Order: sequence, then C-alpha cells, then structure tokens
Amino acid sequence: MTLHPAIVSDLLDDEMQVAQERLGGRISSLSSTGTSVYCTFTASGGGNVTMRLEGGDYDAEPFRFAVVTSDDEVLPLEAWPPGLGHSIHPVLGRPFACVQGTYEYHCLPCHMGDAWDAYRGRLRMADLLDHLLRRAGA
Amino acid sequence: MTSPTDPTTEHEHIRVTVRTPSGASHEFSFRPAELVVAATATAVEHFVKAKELAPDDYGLALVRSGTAVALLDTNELRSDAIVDGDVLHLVIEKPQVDG
Repeated sequence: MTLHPAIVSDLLDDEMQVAQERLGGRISSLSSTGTSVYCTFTASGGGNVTMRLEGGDYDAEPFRFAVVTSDDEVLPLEAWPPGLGHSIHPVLGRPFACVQGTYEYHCLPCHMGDAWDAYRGRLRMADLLDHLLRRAGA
Repeated sequence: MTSPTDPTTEHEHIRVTVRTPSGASHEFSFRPAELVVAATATAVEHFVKAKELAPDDYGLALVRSGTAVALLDTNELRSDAIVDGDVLHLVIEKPQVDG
C-alpha cells in the first residue's frame, strides 16, 4: 500500500536527518526536491558525483536509484563511478546499481524471490547511502 | 580521583540520545560500565516496543563531528569515551547483499 504523500515527506525528512548525521564528512551535500533525494560526494578520482534516490513510492516500494547530472538527467553507465554501475537493466532499459534496497535490484527477474518486503522497515536511507558510497569508493 | 571500581562511579550515569535509522530518538541513561551490547539491547527493546523499529540485529555507532564510529559490542561505554549529550545511532549489523 502506498503511503500518503504527507507521510512520505515526513519519512524522507526524518531519514535524511539521520543520513546527514551518519554520513557527515563523507558527503558534500544531501538535499531533496519533492520526493527525490540527492547525495553529492567527491569521487575517489576527483570530481563531484550526485546520486539520486527517488522515493515517491517509499517505503511501500524501495528507492529508485541513479547517478545523475546537475540537470537531473541519468548519466550513461560509463560515467558512473567504478563499482557502482552494473549494466543496463534488462527490464527498465537504463543503467542501474545491483544493490539490495533499490527498486532496480528487486525488480530484476533473477531477484524476484528476494522481495523488498523482507527489508522494508530494516533497510533505511542511511544504510542504503552508506552502502552505495562504499561501493563507489567514498 | 576514582578508580573504575570505586562504588561512587556505579551511581554515575551518562545521558545519551539514541536514534533509529528512520529518525526516532530517545534519551537513555546508562552506567559508564555498561557494555555496548547491553545498551544496544535496551535501546532496541525500547524502540521495538514503541513500534518505531523492526526487530533485528543492531549495533551502535557514535556520531560526533560528522563522523560515525561503530562501537564494539564487548566494550564498556566509558572505554569508548561516551559522554553526556552524545548521539548514538542504531545501525543494522546484517551485511547488505548485492547482486
């Protein structure tokens, strides 16, 4: 069941606060526009990387994840930090990170038995961002 | 100066804020000699009872000056230099699996 937009908004605000505290100096910024959360960090090779978690259906559904430009466009796979981009998603047809707790992971045909409901309530924004940052070498 | 076994220290408490991954907070009062694992269990029990946390394996991380440091379960709080006003985060201990 999808949550009421006001509840989603409060949920995202609360989880962003936790993520900001926990990730601290590992990130340059954590902001949101509507239900999209943007986490910017400095890549190990230099340059800023912005990760977007789209949470319009959170947490009935997991976050949709992408690495995006400053104009909020999804970057091509080759521009994603090494270790983060997996391939082009066979169902969604766009670059994705094969990371538990993302929409893209849970809707892979080979992960249909690994449902989001098993993690909902346990795997939250701070955990997911922490893991994504480690995968990206940050 | 008091030694760690001085009876007076047994009455001292540290007041810390514990935060869940979804942002619920509560202030707890722990003895300095309390083991991290015991403090974790106390906090988890509180939040689970309040329906603010799903039961699972959690650890504590000290968040100070923009850095989160995981606390060792077998340490006493005082050995991690936990002081009044510190913020501790409950962090899920199960490793995240990728595809």
